[in-house]
Amino acid sequence: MSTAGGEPAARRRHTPNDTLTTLALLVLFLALWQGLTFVLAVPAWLLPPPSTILATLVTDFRVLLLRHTWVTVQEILAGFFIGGGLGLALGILLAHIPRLERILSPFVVAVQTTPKIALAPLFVVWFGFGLTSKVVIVAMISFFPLMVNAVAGFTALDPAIEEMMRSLNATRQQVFLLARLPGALPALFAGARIAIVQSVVGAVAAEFVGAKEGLGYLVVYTGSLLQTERLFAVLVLLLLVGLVLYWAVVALERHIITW
Amino acid sequence: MIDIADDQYPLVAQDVHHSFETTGGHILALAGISLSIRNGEFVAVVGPSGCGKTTLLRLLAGLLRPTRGNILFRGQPLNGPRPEIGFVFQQPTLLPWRSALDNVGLPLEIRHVARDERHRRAQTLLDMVGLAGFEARQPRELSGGMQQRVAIARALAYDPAIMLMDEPFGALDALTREQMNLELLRLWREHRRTVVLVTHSISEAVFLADRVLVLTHRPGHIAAEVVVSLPRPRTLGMMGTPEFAMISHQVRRAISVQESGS
Repeated sequence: MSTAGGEPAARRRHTPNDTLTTLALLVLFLALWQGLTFVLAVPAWLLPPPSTILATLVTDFRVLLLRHTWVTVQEILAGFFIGGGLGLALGILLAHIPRLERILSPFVVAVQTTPKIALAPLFVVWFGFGLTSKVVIVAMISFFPLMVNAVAGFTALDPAIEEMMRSLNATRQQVFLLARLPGALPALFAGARIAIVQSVVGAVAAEFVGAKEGLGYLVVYTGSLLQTERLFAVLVLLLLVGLVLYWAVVALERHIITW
Repeated sequence: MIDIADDQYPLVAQDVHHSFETTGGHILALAGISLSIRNGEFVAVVGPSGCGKTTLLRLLAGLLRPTRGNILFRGQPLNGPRPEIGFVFQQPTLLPWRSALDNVGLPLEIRHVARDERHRRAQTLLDMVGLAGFEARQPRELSGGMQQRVAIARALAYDPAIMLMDEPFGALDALTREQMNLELLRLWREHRRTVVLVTHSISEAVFLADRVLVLTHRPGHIAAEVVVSLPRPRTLGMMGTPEFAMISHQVRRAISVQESGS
């Protein structure tokens, strides 16, 4: 309602000048990397120069990298939507039944503080080396940011707004649909942003533990064979996957939350 | 007796008490309030802050139930908010994600009025409060005065017979406030509504109202009633007349007598 609400978004938006400076810094970093590995004659298996990494990326992309990237992206997306969806649903439920939240909150805190990735070996035992065990891990990781933010968002309705809705004889359902739900959206997107970033980490780590394909699997595999330039190509792809997914969430958020 | 009065006095409070539960125990906010609001009348309620003015208004709106006593709307006990009673809050309480037009249309949406009809009526109301051309703006793109106009237009959406206003212009600067006062009088004159306005400004109360009720400190009760005999339509120039000063002085004295006495 206040004008201050619109300012953080505006502060995040880069001016053309900022973007140029950011790009210049990136170029400088890559140039230094390229120059130093050349001058100091660093062997490629220790630290390959950016040019070699790029060349590997191009030659290996169709034959090797694309397939594994797709596997990891599938794990991330499936886990994010399943876990996030369930977290959202439980969050809405808990927001409306405070007693249930009080009863369940010790369990929630207990599960939340457990590093989910420590459960990965167990899930491999239960669900095997395929997609399922990774989707389960990613889902567990996405679940909590959405649930916690849903509880916060759906209970945060301004009492003045609630009274205004009451003065208009709105039903509970109308208060929910017209005020509580839209009011919760910023919190839900904040949760989704955390969840999508964590999902990438979760999928890769789960693949470390036991997998036959995926970018995380390739990291372990190429690392053990000292194919360092391939390892870096995989890291670049992981970086891109993470960035694209995060940007997708942020773009959707900017599109929907205009206030 | 009461039956004859129902039409003439749509809003009546009979020996109303109200207390709040706090961690420190009961706090008696209002004690023994009795009043009758005449049809078409403009009543202002003034008093020091914390005297229960807002509580009284919420009781009259059906947003609170009296601990003791009765609130009668058209002769019947008031059990909750009614579409015939519009409420304007201290803060605009607009939904930040909605345009001005959709904020004004909110009450109609709650009553399941069809979209076209909703837009048409919201547009008329926005025009009425002088916001034609601002339909698509979101609240954060509007000034404080404009936001409160949207809130007033929203309160008018059910075309209520009674408007209850809780310090609606308290957050506005003096010039905007005078402007809003004049527009409020115009709306009141053109549509012959009944208005109960809570304010802490004595001059605002005297300028707008037919009758000023002075509420005392906690527990609040009505200490004095001052009839404002200034002619209608009121103009800003009247605020400089000796008559205006005299009535304002009467109201101020009623407040200060109470303060020194308690």
